[in-house]
Amino acid sequence: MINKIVILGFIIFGFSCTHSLHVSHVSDFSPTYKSYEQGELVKSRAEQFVVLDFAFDTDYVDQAYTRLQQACPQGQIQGITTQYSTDHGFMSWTNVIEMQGLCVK
Amino acid sequence: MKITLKIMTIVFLSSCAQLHHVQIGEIDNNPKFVQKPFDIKLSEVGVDIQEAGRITKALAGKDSNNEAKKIADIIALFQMGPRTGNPVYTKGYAKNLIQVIYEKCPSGRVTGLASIRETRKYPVVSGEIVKLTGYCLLPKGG
Amino acid sequence: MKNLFVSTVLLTLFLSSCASVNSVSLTPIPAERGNKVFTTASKTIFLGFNFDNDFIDQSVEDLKRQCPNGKISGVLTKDENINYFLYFVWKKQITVTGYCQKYAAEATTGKK
Repeated sequence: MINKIVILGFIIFGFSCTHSLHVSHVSDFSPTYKSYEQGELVKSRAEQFVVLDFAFDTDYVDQAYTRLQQACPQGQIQGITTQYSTDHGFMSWTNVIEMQGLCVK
Repeated sequence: MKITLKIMTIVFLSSCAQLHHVQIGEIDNNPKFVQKPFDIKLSEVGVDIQEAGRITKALAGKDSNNEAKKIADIIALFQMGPRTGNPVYTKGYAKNLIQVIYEKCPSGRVTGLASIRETRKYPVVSGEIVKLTGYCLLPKGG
Repeated sequence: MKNLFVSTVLLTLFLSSCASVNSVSLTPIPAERGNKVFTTASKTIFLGFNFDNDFIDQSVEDLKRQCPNGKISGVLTKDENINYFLYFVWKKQITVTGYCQKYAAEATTGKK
């Protein structure tokens, strides 16, 4: 009976979607050193869907970088958090880069 | 038996700390400011299904041995991908990091930031931790 | 015919590459983004035999050469692995991109 409960627990947890956060980096706040109210929070996100490790480039990182800059044209971006994570799936996964920072103009 | 139980309790309650990534930012030792340290920890529980399978296999009866292993192998197909530490079931647990930094230091004068990604490993489960330490620069004399 | 097919498949696997990211970081991005600087440094590793990571040091020197008398901000550092064949052979590659802001030339009249 206990074995069946354990196995059921396995199944419930096992088939749920899992994720893994690899890197979480926060940049400096200099030279602008502005408070939250003095700027605007900007975000960017880029993904790469990979099947069985067949991924031939890492351009999604550069895409997230470009999108973040496009979200704050003519402004400085401070306190940039960069997070690289993976959403696991059935024989495939999605690599995700998320960047956010405070845009100061 | 009592000694075995005590040893098992110590083993299960202790943890192994594993460092995955660390980065240190610039440090501003401006003499006009006082440095007030702060630290932030955002974490989520990670689960190692394979380890759960191995423990179940060890504790369960002979008939359940193969069942538990088969289920763990099938589940592994649904959780494929690169992993750091154990996989977690909640996405974005460290998404609001910048807001938490501003709660600790509203002026935004932050320096000496150390970004750390670590794991506190326990049997089957683990704490997947994003830790951030830094200093908030406060002007001297108010 | 069968041998040819197997050889073709193995050769394809060997020559294709799988790229994955190890880490990525970004420093504060400046408002002025006209002058982009870029460098890449890599090392091919066989069977995991790697005795140093000195190849990274040239990245900083290369960037400094591209931006004399200036400051490089908005630095995106990407550390990736490019696997050539089942991790028997892989390449470790560091790609660094940033923006160069030149310092204005200072007057040198010597007056106080």
